[in-house]
Amino acid sequence: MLSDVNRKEIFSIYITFLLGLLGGGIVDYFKGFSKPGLPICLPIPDYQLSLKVIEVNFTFAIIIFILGINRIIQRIVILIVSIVMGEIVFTSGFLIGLIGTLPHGILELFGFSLIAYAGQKIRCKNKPIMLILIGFTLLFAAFIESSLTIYVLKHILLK
Amino acid sequence: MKVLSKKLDNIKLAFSFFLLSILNAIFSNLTFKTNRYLAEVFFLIGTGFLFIGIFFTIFMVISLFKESQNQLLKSDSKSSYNKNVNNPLILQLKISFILLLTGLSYSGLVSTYIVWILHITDITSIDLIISFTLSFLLEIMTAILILPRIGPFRETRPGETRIIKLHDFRGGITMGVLTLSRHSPFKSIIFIGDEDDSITRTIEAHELGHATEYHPIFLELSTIFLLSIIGPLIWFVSFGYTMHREVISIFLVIKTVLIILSAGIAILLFLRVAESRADAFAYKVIGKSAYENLVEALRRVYGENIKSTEDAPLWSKITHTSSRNAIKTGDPLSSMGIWEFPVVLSFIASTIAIIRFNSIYIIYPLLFVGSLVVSFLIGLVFLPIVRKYYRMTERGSLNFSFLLAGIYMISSIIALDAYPNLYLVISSFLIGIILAFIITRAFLDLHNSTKVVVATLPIYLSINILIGLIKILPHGG
Repeated sequence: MLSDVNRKEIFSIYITFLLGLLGGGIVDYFKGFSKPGLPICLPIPDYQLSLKVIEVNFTFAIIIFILGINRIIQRIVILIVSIVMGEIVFTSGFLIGLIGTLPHGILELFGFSLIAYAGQKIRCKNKPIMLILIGFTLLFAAFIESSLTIYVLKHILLK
Repeated sequence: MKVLSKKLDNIKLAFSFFLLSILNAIFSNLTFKTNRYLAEVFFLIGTGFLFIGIFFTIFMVISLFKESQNQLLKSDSKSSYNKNVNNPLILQLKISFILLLTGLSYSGLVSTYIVWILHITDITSIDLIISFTLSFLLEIMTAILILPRIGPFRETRPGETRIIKLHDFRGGITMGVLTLSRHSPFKSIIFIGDEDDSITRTIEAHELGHATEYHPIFLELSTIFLLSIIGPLIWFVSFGYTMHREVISIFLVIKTVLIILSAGIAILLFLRVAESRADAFAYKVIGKSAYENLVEALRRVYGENIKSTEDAPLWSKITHTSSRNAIKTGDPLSSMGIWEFPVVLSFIASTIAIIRFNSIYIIYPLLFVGSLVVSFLIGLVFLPIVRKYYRMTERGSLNFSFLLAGIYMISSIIALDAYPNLYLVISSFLIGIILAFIITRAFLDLHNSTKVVVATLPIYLSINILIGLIKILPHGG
């Protein structure tokens, strides 16, 4: 069922996300990193945060899925949103930013890339369904974000 | 060899004058703290050198244009053609030169008046708007008085579209100017070749499309508009940062540059739509053979390598669209890419929205992406209704739908900018609706355009109200 999938296209969407994040980080680098503050005490795992992340991720996933009607607009949106996200994530430095994004980011961006690609193939019958289903890795990403990421971040920031 | 050495001399002269002006600016800056009078003297000398440098640059550009025009002509007719009074490229250069010169001079005069006579030391957006309006009005007045009296426009009657057939002229150009007359405020001239074949007839039909819809007049107005914003900005920045006569915040400068960029890309989009409309007009006049004739015309101008419109040079593809589907289908919006209207209109919308913010860092890209997504999604919502009335190609319907969504979005953002003045909010939104109706009217007849606006506007308003309620209700009103 996935034999017709253009892996290069999915990879290029993934790269666009990463480049955008890196671009945001570079903006922060030139602006000057700020000192990280003390972490807020959150319950681990935080299921409320998990639900919030699922809501935000699914809204963004629906939007980029629909924007797949036009590839150029989809790419512009992906690039600018990831630049803004990168700018926010890397405010306190590259290392903290990477620790805060890496555990769940790999899966999350993969899920977004699949859904963005599925949006491009919206007119092909039955083809996007599998991709959308795999795109549900976003659920796992939300769980990892609310459990593992905040745990790692909390311990590193406390040190 | 003589020509080459002349050109090199001109380049050297222009370069040395620019260098002298830069040196004077440096001296002016260095002496500003110790001797203000001397700094001003250096600045004025530098400005003088800058103008001389610009003069030599323009001189060089004219000679380059002449050379490129000579390449378009057959070698045996070069000398006679250059002396011809009906030379479209020279006429175009004259018009551009007059507009540029008057634009810079008027904005200079207005800015000097504000800084030196009114003694305003802190330039605000209101000062910029006033100087822009004054320069625009003065330049329009000059354009109306001078341009209709240049070259072949002198013999053209107001309201007339004069067709001038030139020997060995490839392609076609339409020019138009505003004039003062009770018969008509426009004068148009079409330049085409004198051959009597189907290719020349197709070019003529395309150019007639431009003339009947007054595209050159709109272009003249938009050029004046753009120059009227650029001029005051240049003067205020030079008065502020080089002469230290007044203070203009870098934030205001960035905002104005964003407005200039938005206006620039809007004009480029208008140019592409105008070319597509002229193509659609040619299709209606000539029929299905119009596309083949166009490719042949391109082959005549750009060489035998042209197999389709996609092979045309980049500049032609930027201004005339690369697919030129309009001349195949008769649908003026079928040539445009689907991304063009949402991207350009969102850029304009985000520029308008940023005017009220005190920072553009991060907010501007977010506003741009937000408006891009919203206009795209609303365009998709409008699509079934628009498709019903537009009744041409699928791509054309999509583009028309995005155009409508973009205009609604811009009008509501202008209305938001006017908040909390309720009267201004309502009037700006009404103006937006009228503008949407006028633009719709350009593509549909009166009956259908009214129906489209009446059907889409309530949808747009209800989406806005719904989003508002979703955002407000969870936060307890």
